[in-house]
Amino acid sequence: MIDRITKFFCSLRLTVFLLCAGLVLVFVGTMAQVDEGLYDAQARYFKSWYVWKPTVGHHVWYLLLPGGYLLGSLLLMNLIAAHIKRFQFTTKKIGIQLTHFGIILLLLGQLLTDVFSRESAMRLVEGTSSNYSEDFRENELVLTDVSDPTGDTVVSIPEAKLKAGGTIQDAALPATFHIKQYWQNSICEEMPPADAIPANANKGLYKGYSVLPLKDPAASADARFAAVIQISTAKGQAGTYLVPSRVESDEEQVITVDGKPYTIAMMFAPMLGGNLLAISPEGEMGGGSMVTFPEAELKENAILKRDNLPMLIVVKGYWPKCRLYRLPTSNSVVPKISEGALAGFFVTPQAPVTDTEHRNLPAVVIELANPSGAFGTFLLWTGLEGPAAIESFSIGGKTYQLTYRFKRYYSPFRIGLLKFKHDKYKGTDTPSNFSSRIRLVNPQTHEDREVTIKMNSPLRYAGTTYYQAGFDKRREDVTILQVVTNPSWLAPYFACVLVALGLIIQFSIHLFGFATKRRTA
Amino acid sequence: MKLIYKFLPWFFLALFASEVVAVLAPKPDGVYHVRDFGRLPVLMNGRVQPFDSVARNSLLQMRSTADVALEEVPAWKFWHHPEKLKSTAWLLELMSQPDKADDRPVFLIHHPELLSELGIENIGVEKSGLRYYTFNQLRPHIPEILEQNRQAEMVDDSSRNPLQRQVIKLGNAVFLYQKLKFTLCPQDESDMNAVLEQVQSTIPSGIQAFDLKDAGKPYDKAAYDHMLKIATEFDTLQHEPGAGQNYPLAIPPVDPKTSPDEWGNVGYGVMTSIQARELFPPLVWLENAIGAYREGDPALFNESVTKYSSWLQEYMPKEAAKGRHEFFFNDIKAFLHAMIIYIFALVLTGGSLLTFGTANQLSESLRRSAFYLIMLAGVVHTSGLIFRMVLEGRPPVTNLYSSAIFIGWGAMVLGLVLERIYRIGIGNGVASIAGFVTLMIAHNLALGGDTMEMLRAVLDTNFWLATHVVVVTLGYASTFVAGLLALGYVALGVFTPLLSQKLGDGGAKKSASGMDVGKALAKMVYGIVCFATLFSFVGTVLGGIWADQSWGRFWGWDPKENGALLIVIWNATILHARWGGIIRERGLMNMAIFGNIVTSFSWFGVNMLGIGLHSYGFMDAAFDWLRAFIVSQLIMIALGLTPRHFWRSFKTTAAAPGVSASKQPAAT
Repeated sequence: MIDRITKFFCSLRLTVFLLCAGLVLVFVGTMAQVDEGLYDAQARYFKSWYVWKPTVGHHVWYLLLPGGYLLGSLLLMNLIAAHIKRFQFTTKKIGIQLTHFGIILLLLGQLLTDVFSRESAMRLVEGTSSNYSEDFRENELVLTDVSDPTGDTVVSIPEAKLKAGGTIQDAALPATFHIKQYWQNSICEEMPPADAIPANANKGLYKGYSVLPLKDPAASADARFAAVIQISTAKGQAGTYLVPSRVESDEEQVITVDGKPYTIAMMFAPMLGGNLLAISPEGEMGGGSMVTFPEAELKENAILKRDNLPMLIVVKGYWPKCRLYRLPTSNSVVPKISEGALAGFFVTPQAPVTDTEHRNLPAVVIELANPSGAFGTFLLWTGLEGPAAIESFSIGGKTYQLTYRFKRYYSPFRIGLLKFKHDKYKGTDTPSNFSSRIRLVNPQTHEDREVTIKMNSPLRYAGTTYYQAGFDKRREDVTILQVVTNPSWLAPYFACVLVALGLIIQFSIHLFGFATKRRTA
Repeated sequence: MKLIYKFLPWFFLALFASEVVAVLAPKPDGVYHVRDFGRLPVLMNGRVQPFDSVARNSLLQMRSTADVALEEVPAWKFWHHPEKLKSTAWLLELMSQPDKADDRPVFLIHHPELLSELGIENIGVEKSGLRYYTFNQLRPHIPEILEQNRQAEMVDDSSRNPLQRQVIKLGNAVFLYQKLKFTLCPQDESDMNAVLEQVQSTIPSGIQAFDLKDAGKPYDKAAYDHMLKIATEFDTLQHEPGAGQNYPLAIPPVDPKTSPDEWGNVGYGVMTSIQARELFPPLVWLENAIGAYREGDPALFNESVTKYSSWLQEYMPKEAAKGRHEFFFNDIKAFLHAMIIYIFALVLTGGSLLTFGTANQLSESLRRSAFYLIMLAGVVHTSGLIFRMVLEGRPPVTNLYSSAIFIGWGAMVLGLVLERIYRIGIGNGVASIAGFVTLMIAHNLALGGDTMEMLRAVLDTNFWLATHVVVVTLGYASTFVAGLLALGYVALGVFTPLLSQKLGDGGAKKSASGMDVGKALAKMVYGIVCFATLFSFVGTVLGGIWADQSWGRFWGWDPKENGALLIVIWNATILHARWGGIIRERGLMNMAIFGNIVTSFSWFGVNMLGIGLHSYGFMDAAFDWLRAFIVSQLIMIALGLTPRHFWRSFKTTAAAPGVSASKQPAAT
């Protein structure tokens, strides 16, 4: 029996079968990416033991396939078993031995990578530095005891615990955490104040917004100016749009009039007389076909038209200083919370995302309690940055800070961004190079040096590698570094050399042996 | 008779070699030195290239040919060369006399539905079933074309139907055509030379007026306004979005020493002239040349081009040389000539195989002729490849187009080596088919636009392009060669008795005897699969290492990576199945043919998935070809699986005792 099992595991037939199964799996897994997305398909087909109901060519097939882990480990067993059984240290076989040893190393290396490697991202603005990177998908709830002057005590609660709901109790926590509500992906926004005016836009990016006019001229740096306009043509009404001045994070607003796309925006152009409403065929903003209406024309119920603009615009409202608020939708939730920065906010749940481009922004409502009862309920959301993201409370004479954020990995050294360069080929949008000039400061080793990280030239330091991964579409002074720790990163390098060497030796033996035979024949 | 057989190969070689020499010989320029104009460098799509490349690539995108035929000659009158407007001459005409150019048939539309929708199926110039249209013929339909184009663009890349793809192609062609017109003469001007004279005369008074106004002193209002008008117009033009992408930047940098990349359009030329308070000479020469070409003044045209050329030679020698060399490269059409020689060699190879066994001396003579011709084609192919590498300053493979050329090159070399060893014509067949087909594919890929486009940042590394990309492409090439040999085996085996012929039965004196052709083919396929395994494995792992270097993960299950992995797995499967005795000669052949499917999927198929980090982009027509190719390979496998008694090669030998070598597993 054992004999038959060993024979089975040593057989070339098993190898051939496994290789064929591998061929099918890789093919199916590649095709499935079209429908399932790269990240999910990778997890379902390659990082799994079996695959049930694969998708090929937009169809789901009732099939059970072996997964990547199963095939990989069987191949590994097959290889190792065959080697133990048939190992001969002869010059004739040395090529095959080397090749197979290389493959074993490669497979093991990938297994280790799967288990131990960690990818995260570090976003740096020019002139700032950081000693942590953030996970691409995971989040954490962090409680910090800031009352100790010698240093903070930090407790991190993983996302899985929040998702599970219920009650979290731990000796490290000064209070009991009751998870009241949890949304895997959401947007949290401030409720519009009572004196905000609904803009009544029925189309465009700002459908369902209201406008809060600001009286005090010195009021705020974040004030915008905005107009509500109704557009119509000979064919009828095209729609009512809210057009605010743009801030950094906004998208360009593109509207469709009589089947043609136009870009509309409010702009501040001192050369042309200050605030104005601009409209142009899509993609030609600032070009010769752009039409502008100065602020003075934007009176309520004024009718705007120009000869070269095939539409009629009626001004429904204009506010030189205002703030915008999104109105809650029918599936928005107003959680009952007693305090914190997000009191008076509402939560709009979003569909969870699965692709690699976007991430979920979960929100959670937590009630804190001590033996004498509940003493505070907070809403926490991962989509916030800066002070707004941190809630503080005191208990037992100690002050704590609570924040819900992207999971962080800290390093004992700091990396600061000196200069980010994003070069394009002249006259095109094709990037020619990205590079980040960074400063690495490690107080433990008294290191302080400057390094340039660019495409195909990462920084490897203290077991971690920093790669130039991307840029911020809206800001030119921001770099995004990919941070990878992978203890087995060298395995493929050795494996490649071993296999190449092995194959060359083996085929040379064949080729020369064959050539000699031919000569003697 | 023997003498003829002996000289035939040399005759063919001399014939084609003299054609190649004739192509290389310097060609005279016409009354207008249009060829000199074609050599002038401009900047487009981020790279310096001659006017000729702009013209050629634009024409390829619009009408799928690099020249404009002025008269249509029926295909059977092949001796009659139709008069042609060469690429540069066409561009010159478009830029200087757009009215005349608007009557040239430069738009190819071949989708019948689109033609009938636009109601133009009965006009235009027809040639070999293709219809070409002039801009004037399309003019009344442009709003409709643009409207349809816009609708088609709202559909996702991968789900567009052929009509939508054709509409987008036509829309882009019309857009490109319109933009090219205004390269040296802006849309609202008719005579740039008059404008330049005006600018020159306005500069002193206008600048004075500006200075006075700034100082708060009384100033000449008319001069001020005039200056402001010119400056506003040309400053807007200077910053026009899409300049350098939709049309070339023809005006060289004012200060080539410090900022050699600062090429600009006419707006840039005028604005820098105003800043410098005198007209920028290259702008004047270019506008003079355009004006002279319009007005019919060859002397002024030639003088302007010569002056500008010597200016370039003095201040931008590198760019001037780039323009000259790329023009030469465009002009000789190395790959086209290689393709013609390959196809001729293929015909000779076919003749040699057909006469094998019946007229052995003729067969050997033809085989030798084919061999010489393939070597000649190989020299031309290799020179083109190297010239391209030097022009680009890159390793041989940078995009899909160059991968096709390189795969053909690798297959050609392997085929020649096989032929040198076995001398039975099979290597000739492989080399000529692979050379011809890959160059044909490359030719079709070139219709997409510039084939020497700049590389995105992550690909901008000669080290990895030279190692990973070259090695993995060689892996593709050798897998294809093995598949081609196997196709030959099945075709010859089923339809001819050749497989059971002994090597050396024919005219090949030096080749080893005692082995039959079938067995020799099996040896070849086995050897090539070994090579393919080595190259594809090393290439794939090097790709992983590159990924590790550039974004920190060795393997990401990206479609392109998976495609390469499929080839490695399949080659390894073939080898293990052979070693395990699971397959024999015919099994080996069938598996090798399946290798063609796997390789074509990784080479082209994964690009059609439209996802992944390094897809080259979506290609439409290629999808149908790929499907047809896969079906044809499956048919061949089915043929290869038919029982032995259907095979002509084995029918005859089955009777002969003890000859059937294919029944014994070949020793490995």
